[in-house]
Amino acid sequence: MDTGLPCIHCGLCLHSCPTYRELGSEADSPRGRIYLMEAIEAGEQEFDAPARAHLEGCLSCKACETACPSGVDFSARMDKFRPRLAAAHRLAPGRRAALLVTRFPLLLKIAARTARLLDLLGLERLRRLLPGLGLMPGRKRKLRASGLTIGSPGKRSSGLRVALLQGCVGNAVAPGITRDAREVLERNGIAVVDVAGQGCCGALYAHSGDRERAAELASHNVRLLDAAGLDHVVTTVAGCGAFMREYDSLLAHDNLLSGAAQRLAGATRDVSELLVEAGFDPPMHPLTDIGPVAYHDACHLLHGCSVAEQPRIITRAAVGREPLELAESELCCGSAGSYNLEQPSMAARLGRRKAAALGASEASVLAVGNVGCILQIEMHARRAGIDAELLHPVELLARAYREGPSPAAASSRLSKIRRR
Amino acid sequence: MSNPPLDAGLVTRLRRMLGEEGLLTGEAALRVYECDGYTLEKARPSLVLLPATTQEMSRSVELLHKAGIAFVPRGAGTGVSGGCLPADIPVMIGTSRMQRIRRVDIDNRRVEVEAGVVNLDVTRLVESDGLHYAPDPSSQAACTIGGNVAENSGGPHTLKYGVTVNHLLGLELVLPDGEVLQLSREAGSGGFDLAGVVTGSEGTLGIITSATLALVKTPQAVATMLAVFPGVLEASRAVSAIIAAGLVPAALEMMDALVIEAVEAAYGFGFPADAGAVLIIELDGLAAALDEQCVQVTEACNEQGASEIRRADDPRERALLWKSRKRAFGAMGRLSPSYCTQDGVVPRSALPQIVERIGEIGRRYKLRIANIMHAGDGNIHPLLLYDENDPEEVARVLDAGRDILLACLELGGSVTGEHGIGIEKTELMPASFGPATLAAMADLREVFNPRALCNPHKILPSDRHCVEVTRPRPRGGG
Ligand SMILES: Cc1cc2nc3c(=O)[nH]c(=O)nc-3n(C[C@H](O)[C@H](O)[C@H](O)COP(=O)(O)OP(=O)(O)OC[C@H]3O[C@@H](n4cnc5c(N)ncnc54)[C@H](O)[C@@H]3O)c2cc1C
Ligand code: SF4
Ligand code: SF4
Repeated sequence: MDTGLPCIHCGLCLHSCPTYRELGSEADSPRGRIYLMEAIEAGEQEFDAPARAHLEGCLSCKACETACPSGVDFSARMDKFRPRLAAAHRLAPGRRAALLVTRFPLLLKIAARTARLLDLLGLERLRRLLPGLGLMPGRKRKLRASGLTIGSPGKRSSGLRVALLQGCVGNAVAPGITRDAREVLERNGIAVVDVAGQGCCGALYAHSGDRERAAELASHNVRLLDAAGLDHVVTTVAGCGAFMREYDSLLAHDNLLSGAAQRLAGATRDVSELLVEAGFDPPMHPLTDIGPVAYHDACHLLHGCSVAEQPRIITRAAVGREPLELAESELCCGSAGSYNLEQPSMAARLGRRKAAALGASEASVLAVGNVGCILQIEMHARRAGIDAELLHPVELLARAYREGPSPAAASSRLSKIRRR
Repeated sequence: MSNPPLDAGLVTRLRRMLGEEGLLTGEAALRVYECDGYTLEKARPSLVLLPATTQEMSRSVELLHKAGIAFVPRGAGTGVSGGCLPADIPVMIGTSRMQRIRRVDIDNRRVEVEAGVVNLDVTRLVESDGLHYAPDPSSQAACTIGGNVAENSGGPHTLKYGVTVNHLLGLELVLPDGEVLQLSREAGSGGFDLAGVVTGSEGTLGIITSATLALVKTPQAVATMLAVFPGVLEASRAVSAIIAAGLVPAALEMMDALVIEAVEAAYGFGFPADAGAVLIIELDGLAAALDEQCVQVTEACNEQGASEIRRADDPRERALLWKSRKRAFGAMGRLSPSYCTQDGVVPRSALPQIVERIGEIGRRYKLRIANIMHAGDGNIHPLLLYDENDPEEVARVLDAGRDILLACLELGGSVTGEHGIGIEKTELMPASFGPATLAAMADLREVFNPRALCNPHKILPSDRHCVEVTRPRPRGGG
């Protein structure tokens, strides 16, 4: 694996790193981790428990890559190291559980249902404190999805045929996002094809150091999706999108599949990216009366795919004004794939930090282009008594298409103002 | 090279006070603290303390002082002269957990922030009020206010707005015995300007725990221009011509052909491929006056043989131009496996001479030398390219770097513009200052730091420092 240009130890990445920001210890910064990995590889540093802890603390959020002026490919260095980390100690129970649910999405559906039931019984505050169940999404209050579909496709057809990536745990926890994405795409004349049998993109395995299993899963998806004759594969989950863009390097040595993997990597689009690229109709009745709306960058969109502008464009169109920015918006919320199961204490610190920034922004809706972040921030917001609604930008757009301004929305805004 | 382990009782007391996260021990945690952005020399501390409050800082320092143990302050470790090197210094004290904003006073345009707050965050805090913090080192996304004060840092906009000391209204300082001083230098505060004395002292007079900073009104309009020249000589003459025309640009930066090549490979701004040198000229102020000034700049550049002059009006183009400049050091990795940044100053009028001397030195030592300059203030950053696997070439790089700095002194300049003396340039101090001046500096340090416990062996030459000298790696700066 090519690990790119050398690290010059300049330290310009420090302040971008969430774990360094929390701990202030440079061994928990990108520069420190690179230094440690180099020392271990050179045989100068023992691969002992403290060394592993500094490396395992990394969220793989890629913020350091955006910050680095020297083009250091931190992820490549870390990925190269992951198998050693994985081999050094058995997978932590949290990560094993996370990997298990990727194979049995039914488990998640059950958890999501249980959560909904508890919420209906008025036990949400309590449920939010439970591991696992606390992460399940809550009832949407201000913006309940109406049963209506958006309706007939727009006047024009874009001529594009796409599939939505659907094998992910994300789709199981928040099926509404996938549904809305599909309707919004169709509304804008983009044909969405069903490709049955898709599996997990493999990102969770790669991040646990199991590149072999990741490559197996990737091969399966590549074969399936490449055969479907698509223009694009569209993701609503930032982590999957970022990982699929790496399929070409993951499968570079597979003579049979490398071509298809390269095509698929090039054809992967985030839903907001495709909508902006292909052109979308701004809704007639933007959601102007739902209170202040903010947008938060999901790491794997911002640092992984350099997608920053497009989800803001979608959000702006849906709500009819410029979304607010959260303080420290570039810092990871601590969700990071299975990180919140693996490193619960750091994940919770970052989650609280993000919830506090959300509270300070006084936004009543936060748009985030990644379901993992939505769940994590929602859980910590609720624990902190912050009521803001967490939605994917495409959900906001779908609602704007479906509903105009309605008395219900107006009254919910009034109740919001009174609450303050 | 490691420092000896510390007395267990002392470590326990410090840990009880600072908590598990406030005290780092063990090889894995301490290794990265062996060096800062200056990687030629390394030494590992035995202990790193990360106090979270002034009180914790003062108590930690007091305990170390009583035990007679030396310590060195560290901000973000972006320094490039080895100021943080813990050579014969067992304890390092970081400010990374001192992150509070103590006061924001928009009406009076000032903020008080703790030492660990990052430079760029100060501007982010107040930009919606139309204000900013003017000193803008290229490392501003990571370096701390404490480190900026300790190095008296500047940046591309230093030409018009000055360096850190010009924006400093007060400091909170923990003396090397743990006593806390409040040093104000607001107009009319009277007495000696001790905060001014501490500025630029590179952590040798005590540890800064907070700073009160003056904010500047963000100019109504900005015009950023790019002028292309056949060579560095023509560009240096244009710099003098612009200043002679009575203009005070906000920034006046130069990059030569080698730097342009690297930057173009990294960021693709669209510099002409045959450019021998470019100037980035930024004017700011009232919109009405800018057009006229741009005409004056254009005339001055044309007279010196500019082949092309462009104005970047689109904010995106302007941002990319500045990114190309501010991240130029990082881009050098694309041209050479390693490089070494020097930092020197000459009078602006001597820029053409120093450029010629650098060319000569490059030829004499058979080295490729690229040039980035804060040309407006005569601050040069020659980048010496080399391959670290060639020990003989490494030796030539070190000699060539020293010769360039001596040439700066001969031309009436100095051996550092903004990166400090640190450990790297202590040997050049006798060439820079007379014995009486050096003795006065030593006396001053003695007053603040009588037992030489706070960052010893820095700035002033000392007879011993015990470190491991490694092969140079690439490093950035400027
Ligand atoms: C890519 C790059 C670009 C750079 N560009 C510029 C530039 O344009 N202009 C410029 O001036 N510099 C530049 N620098 C140098 C460096 O960033 C500055 O000197 C900066 O001010 C150092 O801040 P820091 O927080 O990293 O301090 P550190 O590197 O941690 O420390 C620097 C010195 O200050 C002391 N110190 C740190 N904190 C304190 C404190 N609280 N109290 C007392 N002493 C303290 C340390 O002991 C040390 O001697 C650059 C460096 C790099 C790597
Ligand atoms: S990937 Fe994120 S957590 Fe890991 S070192 Fe980089 S910035 Fe820090
Ligand atoms: S990773 Fe990049 S930014 Fe961080 S220390 Fe290394 S070169 Fe500098």
